[in-house]
Amino acid sequence: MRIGPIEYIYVQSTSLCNLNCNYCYLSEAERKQANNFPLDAIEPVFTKLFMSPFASEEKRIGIVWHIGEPLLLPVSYYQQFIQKVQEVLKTIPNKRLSVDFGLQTNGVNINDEWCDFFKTYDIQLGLSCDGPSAIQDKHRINWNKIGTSNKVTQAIKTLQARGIDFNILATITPETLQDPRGFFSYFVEHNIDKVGLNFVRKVAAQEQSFLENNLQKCRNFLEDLFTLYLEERLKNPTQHLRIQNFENMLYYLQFNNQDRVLFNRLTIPLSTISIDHQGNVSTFDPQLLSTPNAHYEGQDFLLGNLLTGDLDQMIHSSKFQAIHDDIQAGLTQCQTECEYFDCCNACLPASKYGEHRTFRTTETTQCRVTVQMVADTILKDLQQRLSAESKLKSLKLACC
Amino acid sequence: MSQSLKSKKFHTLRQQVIEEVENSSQLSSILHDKNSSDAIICEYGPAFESFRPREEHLPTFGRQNKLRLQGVDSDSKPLNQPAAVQPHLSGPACDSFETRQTK
Repeated sequence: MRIGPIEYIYVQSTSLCNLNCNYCYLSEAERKQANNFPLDAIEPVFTKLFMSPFASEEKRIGIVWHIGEPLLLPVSYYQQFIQKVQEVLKTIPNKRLSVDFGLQTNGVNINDEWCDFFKTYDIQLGLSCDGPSAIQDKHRINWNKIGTSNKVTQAIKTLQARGIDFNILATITPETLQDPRGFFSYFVEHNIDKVGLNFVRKVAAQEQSFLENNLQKCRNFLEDLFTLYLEERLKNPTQHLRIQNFENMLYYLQFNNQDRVLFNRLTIPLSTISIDHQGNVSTFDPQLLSTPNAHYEGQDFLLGNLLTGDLDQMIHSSKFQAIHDDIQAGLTQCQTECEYFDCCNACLPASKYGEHRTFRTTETTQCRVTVQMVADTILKDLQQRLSAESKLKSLKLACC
Repeated sequence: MSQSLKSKKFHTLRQQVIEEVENSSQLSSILHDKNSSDAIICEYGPAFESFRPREEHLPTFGRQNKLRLQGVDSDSKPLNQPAAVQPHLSGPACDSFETRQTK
């Protein structure tokens, strides 16, 4: 069994959020409570993580504040957090570990003080933004149901004015599907260079899966968006809006596992570790930290607590073994049955469990859209362009 | 039957299209430089519903063995054995496209 090495540690610095987005995977109760990861827990928790054989010099470890709105805590909290982690690093014998820090934010609280912090500590920044106000304000609202597009657009301008690099994470909702051009134009007009598309399975108030009910609309949206993306890219090869899902897939389509190895961190135990504000730990897919479980011990996917136990105990538990075996079985099934395996590597354990209540399965609606549909969209578009190019060549030859 | 089992043509189509794109004067620029040693790590953060694949090159700088040993207790070959090379880590949860070299 391959375990680790640790590459990412997701820390729930606070469960609190100033927004009430209706597709959030955290419960409303969690987002309303100021459950903060205590600063005095950093030393014991990170000592155990860094001392473990799964923390390797070979891999830089990314520590990411997420699973709540990190910017609701003061800048000083994170300055102390970083300082304490660095102090722990100095105490680890025989290993020269390196770490960096990142966070995912809704952007509402971004100001000059935060920008100073991002720059000083070279924080990797992800900004959640769904695009134009007609889309963003439909779902990304505060607790008073007020849309956040003005504040987030301002945050984008502030970050750009300070020269801070960031990536946009855009959740795709029914409104996005209706307006691919408006969605695309927003990011181009705001000089954004990197956007990732996040297809959520369910949007609140809808009993059934949003994706399952909108497969054709998703396909149409992706086709339109890819055309816009490619046209702009061909026009401006060096400076264009980079849509991560398309660029990743182009890469996967170009290289298969014989050329370059693609492997999926989400199926490798302890490669990603998620820690909640109480020190509870889960691994594999970070979303499992807040996913209810009806098949294994307990009612969650928590494997233990780093204040009272350690990683070694966790991976020797029967619960871990059962989860691991099932994820691996699902991975093998995907590899055996799915032609698109090279393009994704069974990368969605939480989706498998969310949709099928088991990891021992293959396709999910999520992967049909985010992997298969994206791959098909790209190939279809390229085929049409190649065909047009070929016809043009023939015409030229005929003229000559 | 699953959707993908029905579409056995996918792999062939993929190879054919990519090959033609490589030879296309208009489109070849969208492909990654085959000779580049840069590995692109593609990942999504947790808010991305967990799609966080990661890639490394097979052409190596002689570090395969080290990397293969990284997985502790590696008594069996992992399904997708990590190849080596200057792995570049992309941004955090924040789904960065940037490639940065591991220290």
